[in-house]
Amino acid sequence: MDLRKLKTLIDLVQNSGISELEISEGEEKIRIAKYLPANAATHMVSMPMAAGSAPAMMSGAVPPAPTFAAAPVPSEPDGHPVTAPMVGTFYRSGSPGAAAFVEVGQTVKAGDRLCIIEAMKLMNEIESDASGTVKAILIENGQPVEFGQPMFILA
Amino acid sequence: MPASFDIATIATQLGNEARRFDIDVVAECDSTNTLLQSRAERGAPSGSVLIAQAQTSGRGRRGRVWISAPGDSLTFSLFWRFAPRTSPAGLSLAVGLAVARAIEKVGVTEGNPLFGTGETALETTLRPPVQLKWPNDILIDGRKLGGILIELLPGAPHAAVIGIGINRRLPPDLPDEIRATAAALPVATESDLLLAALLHELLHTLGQFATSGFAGLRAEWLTYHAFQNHPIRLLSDFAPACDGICRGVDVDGALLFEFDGRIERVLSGEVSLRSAT
Repeated sequence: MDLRKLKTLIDLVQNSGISELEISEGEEKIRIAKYLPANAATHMVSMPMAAGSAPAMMSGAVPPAPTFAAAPVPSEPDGHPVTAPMVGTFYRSGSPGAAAFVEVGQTVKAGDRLCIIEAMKLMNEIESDASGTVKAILIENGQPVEFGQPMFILA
Repeated sequence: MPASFDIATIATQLGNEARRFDIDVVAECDSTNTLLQSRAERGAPSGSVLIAQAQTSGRGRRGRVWISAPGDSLTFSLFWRFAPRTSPAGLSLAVGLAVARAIEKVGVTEGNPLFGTGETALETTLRPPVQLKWPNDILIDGRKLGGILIELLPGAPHAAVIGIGINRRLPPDLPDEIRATAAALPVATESDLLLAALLHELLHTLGQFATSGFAGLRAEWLTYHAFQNHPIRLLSDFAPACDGICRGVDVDGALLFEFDGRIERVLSGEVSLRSAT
């Protein structure tokens, strides 16, 4: 993919309301995602307006490594990270007061539900993409998650 | 008296569109969303509709109870499968728009007690009888007529179970504090006709959403928006309330909230809107 085309795509993402774009062309695969600074000052998941943010670009295999360096996870343990497929609020159970889907130390299989991410009254139950033991749960119940942010570490 | 549904009447109302739906009525169930989701996981087709004559533990957001007495509300769920990789961003708002369109057609016509006091005919025509509150509450006269809860199929985020509840009548024994915030359809509408109108609008709106996403519906959504450029208050379980100005919604459905001199995109969280006082 030539640079001109790449620049066109970056401009396209920057000037649109979309937060990421992924294109496959034969063997080539490119992913462009907007840089989303974690805004610790606000109480809800929020991002600056599209015009104010510079696109960060990365290409590589899918699923990608977490795109947003601005959502640092301190001392993330080794293992397989299960990352957030969407921006939203992280919930560990199906309803308040209900038991959490998983706890640290629990064994899970691929396809087991791990958590719910809610955005705009749209509930997305997230399944494990691998089998293993839950080594760490990196997000507190009710806290916002960014796209690509690791939520669970499986070992 | 439980609401009665006649599938043949619904099908007649829908005409050719009836073939896009597979409608089932159950006398009672815990939650139409939960039951339909399990049916969808076992292979129920896109367009499956599940209506409950009575719903015993309907859910709102975060497990809130949806109060639905038999006959007083229409509660149903629709399973819809989009093309793989379709982004569900903004789907909540798109469904709200579909419901607003349908309610406007069937539920707020002549004899509407909300109108007629000192308004000219033109004003009455221009005033949107149904309004939307972000992300997808349906309001009449500022009070909640209905709600929507969408659950994506685990592992298939392009497949959604869309739960819709509409108040047809408010029960006489409703507590005052709920009555103050709740609305019912101003015009008595047969459940069958209401459901057919909703399915008709959902079919069209979801088709538009599949083609152009929420971006293609945003302008119309904003014509129903209850809080456009109003001072609002964002509430959260996890942080103090925050006052600002509502600046509408973005192309993906995010709320645009002007706060402290800048506009923020609000996507998620336990957020509700209040007219700031």
